[in-house]
Amino acid sequence: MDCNEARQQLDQIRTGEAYDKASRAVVEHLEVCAACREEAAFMGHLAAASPKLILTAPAGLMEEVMIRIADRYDVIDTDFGPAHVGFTPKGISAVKLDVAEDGAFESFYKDRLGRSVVRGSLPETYALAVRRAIRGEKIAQPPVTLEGLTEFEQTVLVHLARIPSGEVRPYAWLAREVGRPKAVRAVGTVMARNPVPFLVPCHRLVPSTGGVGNYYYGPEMKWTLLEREGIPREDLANWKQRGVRYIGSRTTGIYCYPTCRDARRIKREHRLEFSSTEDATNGGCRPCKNCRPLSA
Amino acid sequence: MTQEEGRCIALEIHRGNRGAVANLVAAYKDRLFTYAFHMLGGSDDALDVTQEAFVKAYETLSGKYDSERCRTLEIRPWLYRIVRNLALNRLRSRKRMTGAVERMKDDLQEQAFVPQNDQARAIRKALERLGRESRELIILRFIEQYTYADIAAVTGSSESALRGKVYRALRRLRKIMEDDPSGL
Ligand SMILES: [Zn+2]
Repeated sequence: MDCNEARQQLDQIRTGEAYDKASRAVVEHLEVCAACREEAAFMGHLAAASPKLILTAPAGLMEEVMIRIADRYDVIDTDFGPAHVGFTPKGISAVKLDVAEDGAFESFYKDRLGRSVVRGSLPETYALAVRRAIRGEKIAQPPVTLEGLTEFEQTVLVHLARIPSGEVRPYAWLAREVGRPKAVRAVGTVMARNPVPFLVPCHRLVPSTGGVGNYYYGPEMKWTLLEREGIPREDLANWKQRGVRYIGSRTTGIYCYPTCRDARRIKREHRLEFSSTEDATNGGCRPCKNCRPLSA
Repeated sequence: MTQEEGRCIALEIHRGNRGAVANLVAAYKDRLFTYAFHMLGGSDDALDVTQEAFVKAYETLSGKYDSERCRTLEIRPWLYRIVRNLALNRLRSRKRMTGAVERMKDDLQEQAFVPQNDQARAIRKALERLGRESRELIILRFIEQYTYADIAAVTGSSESALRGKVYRALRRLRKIMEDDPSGL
């Protein structure tokens, strides 16, 4: 073994990374070569002194990073006026209309999501998604993030997001879907506190008895949103007035919530109307697999 | 920070935990800053690049990578790669702007960043006279105490090529220090 060969391996032998036949040869070489022993000693000194070369990063680095990774918000114009939109790298975290005073959105955000938020510039795709949702246009996958919400809230909102545009479901239905059939009131609370309205469609949840029920921004906006999605106001009012909660088909023997896309396809002459699931069952109908009026 | 802790922290950041980012910064800020400092030869750019690297790490882990990717991530070499890429970009644009060849800037002498220990000061002085690539290898190998496999993961060189490169860097460093009587 010559010095060149030995020295290329010295460094890894020093740390114990390499230990095989070749390194035994290097060790033997060291015994007879003073120059290589010196080289090894130099590496040893360098390794011993090097930790003292670690610098201390300037004060303020941590603070600056934390500010730069803070959530952002921007204000955009929509059909319902200016909207404050909070966002993170994961997606839109909050949408709020009617923010009256300076600082009100920041404190709402902190209260609701437990994080601070600073002014930033909203990605165009996010702005478009909010505007589209408010116009009642379909969005395949709303770009939202639910981080900071409780597990129950997240579960409820994830299931809520699966209600198709242009359809409504009762609060009790969502409670059943998330496996908590008794938690209807809790589901209602999640709707009232939904940080990403319009995108995660709390406006598509209505009372079992019909109509549109409550909405954070008032029932009128809820009527409007549903109308924009293609549910005529008269239909909802009419079903409520006549106590129609389900619609079945004479030909398929399947019953649905009235706004289910399957129910809408039923021709007038084949249409059956029911006021309860018992009614529907007695009328010889099975629950629809899409809108699941009887989900366990 | 062990590999396992690194993965946990990556996953926590993926879930949106800002406190986990603070932990990551606390664990790596000095070492990454030291690395950036020696890559760029100055504290202002090094501070910028280190901060930018943490922000980028946060954005990537929380917004781009899925949880599986975070669960299997080796966070240490990954962070060094981010710093390295940002630093190399900066060196390139610096070169474009000034047309100057690579050199250490005067602010290496900034008092706040000169080691107090005599031996360390001598090494630092010698490092300043080493080329960028050799300097980087000495930093990774001796200050960060990386294995050759780690260095390969950060720089993209093969381990066998690294053996020769590190050897030559050491020989040059030793030569510089021997020519300087205040050396080791
Ligand atoms: Zn149906």
